[in-house]
Amino acid sequence: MGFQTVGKSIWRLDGEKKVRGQALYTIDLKKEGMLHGRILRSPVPHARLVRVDTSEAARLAGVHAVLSRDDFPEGGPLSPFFGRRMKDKTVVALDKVRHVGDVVAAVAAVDVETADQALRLIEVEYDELPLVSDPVAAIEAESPQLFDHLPEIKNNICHHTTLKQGDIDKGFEESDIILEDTFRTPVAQHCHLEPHMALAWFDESGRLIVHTGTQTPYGVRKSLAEIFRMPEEQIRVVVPYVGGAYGAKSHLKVEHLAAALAWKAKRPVRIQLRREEVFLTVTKHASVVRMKTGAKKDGTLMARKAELYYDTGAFAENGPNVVHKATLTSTGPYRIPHIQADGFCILTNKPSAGAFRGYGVPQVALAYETHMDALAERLGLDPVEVRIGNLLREGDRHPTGATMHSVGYEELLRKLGAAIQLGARRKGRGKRRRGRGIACMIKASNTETQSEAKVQANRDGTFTVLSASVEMGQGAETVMAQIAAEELGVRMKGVTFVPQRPDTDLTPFDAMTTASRSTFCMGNAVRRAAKNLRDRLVEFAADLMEISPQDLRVDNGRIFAAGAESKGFTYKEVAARYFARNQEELIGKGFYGDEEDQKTVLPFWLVGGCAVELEVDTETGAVKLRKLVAGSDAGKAINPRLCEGQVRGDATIGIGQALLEELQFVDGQPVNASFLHYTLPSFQDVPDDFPVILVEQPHKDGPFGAKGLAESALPAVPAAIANALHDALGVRIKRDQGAFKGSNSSSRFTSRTT
Amino acid sequence: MVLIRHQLFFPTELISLKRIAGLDRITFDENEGLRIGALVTHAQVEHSPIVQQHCPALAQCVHHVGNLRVRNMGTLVGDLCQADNHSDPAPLLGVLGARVRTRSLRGERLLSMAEFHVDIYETGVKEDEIVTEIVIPPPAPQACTAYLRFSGNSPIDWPILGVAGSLVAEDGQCKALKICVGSLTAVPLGFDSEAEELKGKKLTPGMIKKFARACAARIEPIDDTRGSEWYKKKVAEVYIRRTVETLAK
Ligand SMILES: Cc1cc2nc3c(=O)[nH]c(=O)nc-3n(C[C@H](O)[C@H](O)[C@H](O)COP(=O)(O)OP(=O)(O)OC[C@H]3O[C@@H](n4cnc5c(N)ncnc54)[C@H](O)[C@@H]3O)c2cc1C
Repeated sequence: MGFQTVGKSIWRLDGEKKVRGQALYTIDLKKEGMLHGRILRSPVPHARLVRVDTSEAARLAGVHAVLSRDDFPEGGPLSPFFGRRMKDKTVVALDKVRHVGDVVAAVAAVDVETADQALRLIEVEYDELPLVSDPVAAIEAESPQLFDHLPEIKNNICHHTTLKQGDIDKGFEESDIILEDTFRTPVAQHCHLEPHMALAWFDESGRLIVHTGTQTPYGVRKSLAEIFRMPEEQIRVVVPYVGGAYGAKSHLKVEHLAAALAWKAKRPVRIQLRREEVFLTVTKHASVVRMKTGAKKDGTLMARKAELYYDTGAFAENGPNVVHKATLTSTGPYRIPHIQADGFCILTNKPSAGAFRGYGVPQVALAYETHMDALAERLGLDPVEVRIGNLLREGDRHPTGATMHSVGYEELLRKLGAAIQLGARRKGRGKRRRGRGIACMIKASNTETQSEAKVQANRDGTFTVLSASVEMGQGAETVMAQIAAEELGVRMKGVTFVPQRPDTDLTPFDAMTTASRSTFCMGNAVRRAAKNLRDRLVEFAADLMEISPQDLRVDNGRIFAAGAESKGFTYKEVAARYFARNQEELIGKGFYGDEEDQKTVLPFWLVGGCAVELEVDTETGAVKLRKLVAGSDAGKAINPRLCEGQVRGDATIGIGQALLEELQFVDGQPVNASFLHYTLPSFQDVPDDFPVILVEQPHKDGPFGAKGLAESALPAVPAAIANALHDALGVRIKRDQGAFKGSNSSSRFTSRTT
Repeated sequence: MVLIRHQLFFPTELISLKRIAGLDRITFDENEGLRIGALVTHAQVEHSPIVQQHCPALAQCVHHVGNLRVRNMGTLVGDLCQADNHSDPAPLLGVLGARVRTRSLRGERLLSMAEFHVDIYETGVKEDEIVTEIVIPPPAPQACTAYLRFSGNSPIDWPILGVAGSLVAEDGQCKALKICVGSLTAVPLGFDSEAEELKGKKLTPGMIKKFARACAARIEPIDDTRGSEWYKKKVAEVYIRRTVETLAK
């Protein structure tokens, strides 16, 4: 197809101002008369709150408000309860603290130092309770309970998903080979460069205004409305540029605390978390995955049994949905007739785990892709061919009932295998050994969610895209402009697209900037809005030219009569003439996710993979990546450079999680919750040879065939590295043989991974 | 600064040394050797032609400290005075026989590295003293010096351990060997008695292996997020061996 803007690697629209330091991020925000909020956090992982005495702190000069459980009497003006999946969280702890870092109280003062000093004056008495630290042990009946007042939670399990198909026993009976292993992955943290920050105040008419670096402006507005018992329209949430998020900035993180302090102090309050606090605010789920796979001698998959134990920490957060989605894709992108998968979302006394790029898939992909590699090895088959032979194909039915569409696995796997000459795999010898490995992944998005956009033609010939998609580094602003430009029939060069930052007073509803959904969902809304605007402009031009709109064409920013190209107007001229007569705005509107979409749109799959070549120093265990190839099916790459950046960045996080990162706890205490001791991948930790492969299998419902891809590399990276390590060393990265539930073996899983 | 940033330390007053004249120098003379002033940053040490000429191992060593930003801001003296046990230069300065010059109203003192290192975050510098410079004596002729560090999977992390060594050899025979291991214990650990055994002997692969094993056996590493005691002991043996092998080459 002859696209003019789509498919071009134009430079990102926010690039220059970000490089020059001119872009306004959330942490740049200040407001006249604002106070600084600081948070008192629990030093113990599990305790009953006996006494919280804030009187000394409140008396300190410079302190304007101290927030504690005393501010939340039953039936009081504020409701303490909130939570994404269940109302298990409270603004400040009411009767118990459930993890180190749990919020006990908060102070607003004239400066940070005074607020810190006030925190030290708050007297708290804790009555310590037994610690729940291991997710597998946590679900035993005799384990201490984190919650006893919520009916949704039983035996520390806050969610259980089951995926069933066929007859699992028959499946294993008919298998020639059966693999059974247990895999364990640690807690990790997002480490977005910009910490959580919110600035909140009540304006002169009593509206609550919150500026925050969130991925979910409308979600934040809704939750705040519940806490402050006010209509959503009385709240305005504004989102400047966000300095990275990866899932950690969805739903309330600090907004409610800034707002509650502002409410009490009657002044604007700004809260910016310290890095050490960010580590205690939201994390990635640690996991134990038990997996059993059965196959025929020729490699055909027959049966898959999986048990996923995801450690969601002290509150459910997004955990139930993370576990749900991970369980539903625990068969990988493969056709398996007999399935029994159970996912458990389990509460322990750690900081809550929530959404993190990949959304639970990396943990389970490590298991299923290690099994695909082991299968190939044990049966003497090619690892690429075994995978291709088992793939779910275009039009096939996924075990969840969804249809497979736009799934370019075969091309991707062949390209990945060729890129590292996987065929030449050989076990290494000597002290330094090399190995090669490959893995792929599948992840669902949430195409059922809604987005609305507006595209506006301005008096000066520029366009404004009104969308609540958050620009958090991924390039949404640029891609939305490219989609609008393509649909409007203008070239990006010489045409200015003015972005409107998300603002619930100005930009229409968007469910969230998560799940790699924006290009697909918001992209469709923007495309429809642009088409709507183009139709209006064409109609107006038709009036001017006194011909029928059907006889007009649009190209390169001009509207002209078909067959008589010289006869026409540029958009700029049309806009000038329009506004000379009317002051009514020229806006096109587009909505994605209506009933028609719900019926006809096929969900999109994130399709990705990774191939690795590495070297191991067998005397120390140190691993050096020599080459890493990350690949993804983009549907249609609207901006290939941005796509490559997303895939490479995604893979880099995968490298960190596979080789460097682990947030460690000893007796419930985090021991490396700072950048001094939590190792993140740097440029020296990624291989010099780090190409990206983009495959394009257009999605019929995506804007110009596009779909999301920003979570398609990470989940495959740890598995590819594990498989390469096996190639080098003959050792599988897994736990000792674990028995399935009911066989009473949980104590075996309590030791820590290194 | 690192401790303040991490709220481990709450000073009420901070004194900047930045404007004291003369502390920013790197000099060399035949008598005292190499002198590095208290304001000299890691980056300046790394790029100094004087250091590169007279003590190339130190220039290479500080190149591995943290990252570019840390090296541009942090000083070598500050690294030592902070007395974090994961210091890279500390063990190297040990084998180089460096001394620390302090000054107070009472006068000057020269501390050996053994006197300087007291414990984690604790040095022999008195409350009324500041360190003015590090003095590294001129190396013995034919001495080879090396520093090997191991930081797990990430080359830019703090070291899990660092091994510094210096060797004077003649015809493949060991005349003098010094080994000092940093990061594993509260203060850098030397192995003079083990090295004494090698004196006058040929440095064969077998001898080196035996030496490394003997040294490692005496280390009791502190286990932390970067590794267990068992693991660190294993890696220490490997890196001591590799350091001596490098020196013997
Ligand atoms: C991210 C990061 C990574 C790092 N990685 C490494 C690494 O890999 N290897 C490594 O060896 N180090 C590493 N460091 C430590 C770094 O080298 C030191 O923080 C730095 O060199 C300290 O120098 P400074 O001049 O900033 O000292 P300051 O921070 O200003 O001082 C440190 C301490 O020494 C005292 N002090 C400083 N100068 C004097 C003086 N003249 N007399 C008396 N007392 C004095 C101060 O009072 C203070 O207690 C890292 C640091 C960071 C932040």
